[in-house]
Amino acid sequence: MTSTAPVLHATGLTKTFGSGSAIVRAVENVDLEVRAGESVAVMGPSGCGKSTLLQILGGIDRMTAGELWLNGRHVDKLAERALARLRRDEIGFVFQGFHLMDELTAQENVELPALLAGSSPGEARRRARQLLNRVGLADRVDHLPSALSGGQRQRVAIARALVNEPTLVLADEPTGNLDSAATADVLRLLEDLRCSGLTMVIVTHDERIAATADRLISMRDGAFVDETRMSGGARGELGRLFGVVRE
Amino acid sequence: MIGRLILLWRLAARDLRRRPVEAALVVLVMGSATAALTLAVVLHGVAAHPYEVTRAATAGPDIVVSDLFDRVPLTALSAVAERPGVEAHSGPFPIASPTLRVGGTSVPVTAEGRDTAAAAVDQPKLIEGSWVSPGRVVIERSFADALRLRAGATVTLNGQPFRVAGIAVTAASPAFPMSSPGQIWVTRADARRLGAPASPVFYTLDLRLSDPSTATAFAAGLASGAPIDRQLSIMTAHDIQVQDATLITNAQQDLYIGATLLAGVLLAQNLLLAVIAATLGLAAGAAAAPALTNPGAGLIGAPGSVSIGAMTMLASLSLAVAVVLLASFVPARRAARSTTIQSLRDSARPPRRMPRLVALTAGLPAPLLVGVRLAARRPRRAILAAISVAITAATVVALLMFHQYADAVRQGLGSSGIADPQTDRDSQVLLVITVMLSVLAAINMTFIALAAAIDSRRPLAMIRAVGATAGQATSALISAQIVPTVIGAAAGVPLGIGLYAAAGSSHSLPLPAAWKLMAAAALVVLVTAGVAVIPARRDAGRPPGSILQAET
Repeated sequence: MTSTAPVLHATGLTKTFGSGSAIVRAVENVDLEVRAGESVAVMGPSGCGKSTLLQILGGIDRMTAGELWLNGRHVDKLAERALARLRRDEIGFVFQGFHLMDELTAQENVELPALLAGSSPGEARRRARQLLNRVGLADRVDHLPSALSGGQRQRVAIARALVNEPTLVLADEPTGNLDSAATADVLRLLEDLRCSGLTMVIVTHDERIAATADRLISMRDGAFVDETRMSGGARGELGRLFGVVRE
Repeated sequence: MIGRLILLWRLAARDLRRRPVEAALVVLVMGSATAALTLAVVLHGVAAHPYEVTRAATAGPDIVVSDLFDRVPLTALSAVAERPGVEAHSGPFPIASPTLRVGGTSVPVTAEGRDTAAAAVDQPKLIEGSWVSPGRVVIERSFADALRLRAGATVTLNGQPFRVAGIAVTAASPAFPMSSPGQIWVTRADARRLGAPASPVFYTLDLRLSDPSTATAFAAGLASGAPIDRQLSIMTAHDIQVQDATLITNAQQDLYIGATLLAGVLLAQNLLLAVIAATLGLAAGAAAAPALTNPGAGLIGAPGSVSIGAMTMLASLSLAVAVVLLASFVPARRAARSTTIQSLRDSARPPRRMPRLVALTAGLPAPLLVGVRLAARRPRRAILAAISVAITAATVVALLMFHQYADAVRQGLGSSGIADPQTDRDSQVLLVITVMLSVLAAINMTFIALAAAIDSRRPLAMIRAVGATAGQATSALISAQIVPTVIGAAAGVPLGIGLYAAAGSSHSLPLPAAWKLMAAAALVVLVTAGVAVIPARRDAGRPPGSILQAET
């Protein structure tokens, strides 16, 4: 499933908060390479810097030091406007708290990145409907997020992350706010995406998600401490064990 | 109890430290309102003071009797001074109506012929220069100010050159322009010489009564007396005083209207700030009072004798505190009724689904779509913003109409180009109110924009996280502001016309050109949109990740 072309390449990523004796090193000297089609899971205890790392990789926060390339583009050298375009065109972000706009319907939430990218309203609508259908929410397109369950909201968020056909999807605890049934739905959806060849980096506490990845990285105190290559990922025994793969 | 008070104080102090800019703006807003109220209260009752000072300094008359139409023999006019109750008199003095020309200005004047010696009643008080002598004229101070004349200047009266000997004030007639044509004094001989067949000389007589309180009865007796007496024109000191006070009472009315509007704008503040602001406002009002209570150059004395009394302070402070209590009541009650669980959850109420709005806005560009939906989520805030803008636009429109009126008045004075103190004073007061209201509206818009920016922080960070540029996020927030702004500006135009009609019914005139009204409304929209850019840009410059993480 993976190719040799690196989609994401990071060296010495560091993020600090505060200064002097009160300095906090949220991410420290992290090196990471993710190849096209590869799925990487990052696990670690709360507060170890996983989410901060993901936000830096996604260009929604700035690093203090280090270098980051995405599809050959030097991300840390990009101006804010170019960085916004990069987020829009190259990256799909799935958040633990969904981060849907409460004022927009499910369909409008999915359309939004496409419209921001300059797609025509008709084209944006067509793609949004397609994706909502794919995540099983064809009958919920006109609902506001407040009228959807947690699992449904996360599925809308995943559809939104895919609407501009990104080369990299970053997911931050995608099942962290969901109950068991909704978690299973989202796990299956992520597995489908992985099988379709999408490149993904997933931050999670959930071992079932980690089991679906090609690679598992452990993180502690802002640094990578261990890395395991998972043979077979969700298609292997682990995936079947956790019920991710449909028999 | 003391523990609770200490806790309240610590919480209030912490809030003030956390939001110093907002606190400063509240102080400015409340201070402006209190200053306006202070001015309005201070003006109350001060109009009479300068007239009384002038009257005392010029031995002002209780009654002025004139034979305006030259229908009464001079002996009959003189006989009025012999009536019971008259303690002293001066005159009859001849009055001519020549045309005064100076530079390119040509205006009719009332030229009163006087003796070179001082009169027992109504001896004008020289402010500058010397008294009349042959070929030398004295000019009433307001009139001299309007003509920009000083002692030593040369003018012509019916083409004859006269040197301006001095500038003086009188209590025997209202100051220019309440008394128009303007008043000048010449010698008796010069006054007679200035009479023309078309406007012959007539006479006037100044009387002091032994009991000034009987002036009205004395005047009534003349007006209803013998047929010959009924030909006379009579003016009491009270009549003159009332006309002189018009400048101040008009300003007072304008300020009351302004203060009422200002109080309406104030719905956003808290108690400690209110007291500080009210104190500052009292000081500002006291400092500004002399400029607005200046009675005009036609009288001597100044409102410096007017002080900010206990009642004024009480009224201003009461207003500030009342506004604060009123503004704080609803949110405080709502907070008190929230359960602890609701408060801790601290989640915003989800928006209601509005299918019609969804259908109407479906085709909008993404930033505008987001902005409109954000605005629609908080209709009360949008209404408050619209009202704030409407008040500003209304004031600008009223100011526009007043300037049109002022231009008409200036044209009505002929091609002379004489400044009209009444119009100028109204302009000053209206300008002060407009500036204050504009500042308040701008501050209010900043408050609303700040609050909207805080409320919209999460959704805007979210749309930036999914690819919106900082410019698109700013556009969305401005769109959320612009909708109520446009509605407010559109409503402000008819409101301003109505406000002007209500406040200045005597100033009726055709409406300003439509393009001027539209330009005024557009200006208000542009300025308020500009104000909204500041908080929008501030938040748009922060990485969205830090905002999303803080909000999670």
